[in-house]
Amino acid sequence: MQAATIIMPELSEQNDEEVAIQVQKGDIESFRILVERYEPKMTRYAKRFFFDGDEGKDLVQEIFIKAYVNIKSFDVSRRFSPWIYRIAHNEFVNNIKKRQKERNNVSVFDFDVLFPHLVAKETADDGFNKAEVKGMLDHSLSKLSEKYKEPLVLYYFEDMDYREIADILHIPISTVGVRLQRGRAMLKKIVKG
Amino acid sequence: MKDSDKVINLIKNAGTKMRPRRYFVARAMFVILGAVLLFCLILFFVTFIIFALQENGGLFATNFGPVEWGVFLESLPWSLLLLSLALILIMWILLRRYAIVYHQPFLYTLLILVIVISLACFFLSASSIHGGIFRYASRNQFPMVEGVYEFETTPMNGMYRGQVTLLATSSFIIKNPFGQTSTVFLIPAASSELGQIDPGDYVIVFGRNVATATIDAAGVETIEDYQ
Repeated sequence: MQAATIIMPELSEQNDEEVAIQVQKGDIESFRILVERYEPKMTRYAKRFFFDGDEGKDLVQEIFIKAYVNIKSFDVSRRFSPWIYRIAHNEFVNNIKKRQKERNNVSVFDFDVLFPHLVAKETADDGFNKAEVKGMLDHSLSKLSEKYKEPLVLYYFEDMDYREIADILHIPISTVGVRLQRGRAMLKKIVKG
Repeated sequence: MKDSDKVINLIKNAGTKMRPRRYFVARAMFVILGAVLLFCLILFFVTFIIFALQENGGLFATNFGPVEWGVFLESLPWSLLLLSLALILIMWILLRRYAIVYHQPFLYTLLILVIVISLACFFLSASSIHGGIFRYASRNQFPMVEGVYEFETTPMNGMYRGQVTLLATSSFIIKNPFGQTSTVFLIPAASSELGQIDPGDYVIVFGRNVATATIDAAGVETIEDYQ
């Protein structure tokens, strides 16, 4: 335990990927740093999926345990953040399926994933500013379908870029742009009533 | 107790172990091996489709105008074509875990696959692979394989397969695989094709049966006979 307290100040200055390397080498105490860094983000992310209270806490714990078990599959040349968000995404989607006993909206045959899209520029914000969309999302999140909700949450609340969202959801980068654009249009419609 | 302590305690108390790197390497290799096997299977089926179209004459039907396109569509081995598409879909699902695949829309991946398969088919001559398989199967008597390669047993409207038995100045006689003979008259536009035919050649005649054992032909293609 004493060794951990000596290492920790050094580790806290390292980036996620460097800490992950330590965990991969078997240093379980380094994993504590990652848990502390990502626990608030994962809890917030779970809440956006309406996993609150004990259920949300259990799910976040499960995400970290899965991250620990699979940490050696993490490619340290890439960013840690999309990797752990991918685990969280899978965990939430599986639980939504269990809860609602229905298929995930993002199926193999989703047309968004099958066809190329021309509208996918990262700057295409449809005249909305971030604060405006965040406000709308806070009020109308429950009325949006999962397909559009998740990219919007990742983009506006988790500050992910298109590539990172594509890596979390395993969809083409251009599809991220299309879903954000359609999601914003839906939000606008919902807000207008 | 802090949440991070709870997680670490849970990992320590439950004796949770990290999966070793070799587990992920083995899984990746399994996926790649599966994809390679699927690719070979798709390639085999596609070359077989080309071979079947060459042998049943469907591939040449499009040379003789839009009327023969119906013949071409009829000659396509649809079940094999759909099976190949299903295998491509399975291959895509298998490889979808990799960024290089999921970053692209499915249609791009499909297009790349079609190009790669076409190139592979170009370099691996369909007739030499499947002709060879059929000859080997015939010599060693594998009736199941022989059956798959028996294109002559499925005659189609507008296409007549047979061996040239007699050549005249404006017509020729063919004997089909069932031993029946027909006289073939070439329409004036196709009469030059007579010069390319010799008695004993295996041919596919595209045309219409105008009377008993008489065919008005819009075109003739010489084929290799593996039967």
